[in-house]
Amino acid sequence: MARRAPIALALVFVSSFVVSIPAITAQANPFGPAIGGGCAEDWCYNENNHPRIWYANSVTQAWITSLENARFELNVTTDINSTTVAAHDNSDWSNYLANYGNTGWAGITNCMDRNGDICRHWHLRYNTYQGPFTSLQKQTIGCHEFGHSVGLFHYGTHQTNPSCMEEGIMHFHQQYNPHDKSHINGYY
Amino acid sequence: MERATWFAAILLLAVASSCTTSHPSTNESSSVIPMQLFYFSSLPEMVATSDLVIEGTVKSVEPGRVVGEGDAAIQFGQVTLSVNRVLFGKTEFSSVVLEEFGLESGHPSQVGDHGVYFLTQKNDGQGPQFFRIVNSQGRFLDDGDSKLIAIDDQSVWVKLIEGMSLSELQAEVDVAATAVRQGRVEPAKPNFGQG
Repeated sequence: MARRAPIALALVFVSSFVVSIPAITAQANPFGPAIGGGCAEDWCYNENNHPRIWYANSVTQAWITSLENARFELNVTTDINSTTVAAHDNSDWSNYLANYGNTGWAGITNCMDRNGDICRHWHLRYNTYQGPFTSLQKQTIGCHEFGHSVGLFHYGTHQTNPSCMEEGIMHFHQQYNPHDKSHINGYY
Repeated sequence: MERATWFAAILLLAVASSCTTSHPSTNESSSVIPMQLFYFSSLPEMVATSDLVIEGTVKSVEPGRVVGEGDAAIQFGQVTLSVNRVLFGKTEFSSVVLEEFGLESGHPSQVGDHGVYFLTQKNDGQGPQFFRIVNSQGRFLDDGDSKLIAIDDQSVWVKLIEGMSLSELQAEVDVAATAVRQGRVEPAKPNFGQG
């Protein structure tokens, strides 16, 4: 029996390795479980409902104006009460603007500091290669990225109740729909 | 006998270790979620918007270019993909190089990945001639049992492709390509600056 122990240990190791491969596992419903019901996915901000937002020097005033409009929409229509801060180190969501080239995306949200299911610090990046965007389109992109930062994912189809969380930038909406708000307010 | 047992165990561990692949190195956790330019409503629309559709196999994955400065910077993964078969478009090369960051959040490419890739040329003047997947819907991987699986997307039409064989998807792409050539399907175009 003892003789088989090394083999058994090796098999356990191999099994855990195989199981851990993220390769061919389908994602869960991308929107539904992202928030609420315990915040099971990766997209949750859980320090409190007062995220602190910082804009890097690279973010132009035109973008800041639109992103601030998006932030106000989040503040006014949900239980989130965000504020702006003057330094990256004091922030929860840091915003950057750069020419990232033809990446296929206009904005992207990255979790920089994850603790289990909770992301404690986000970087939100906006790509100047794409566009040019109108001020309302910039606001849509901000609405979308802020939405990810509070735990929302995408809708795969155009919604009857329009939402800035619709996938792709074919439709430009600057608001969260009732479904989004119920998820946000249910969690925070 | 004891020695043989330990040898077998070590061999097993070595095999497992050899299966590991290097991922693009970034200083970020794996949670990356993009707001994409396009989200297609059908396979023909995705074909029409792609420059090249291939059956390919990932040969290497390396850390790629760094774009942006300081905390704003991102680092692409540079993926070399052998061209096993061209399903749409043309290429004279036996391999293509992809840059990836953001569109493949469900599964950064790994050596040995095999499947159908819907690609677009980057053409952004920032580096060599790279491709990228056209969007998160543009990759179907062989599940190892000759069936395709979509790992990056949940849209209904994409899920209908899951379970198809490569040849079945090729037939679908052929039909779509005919529609594109006849002008019945147009490439998606972003409506920047409007609305």
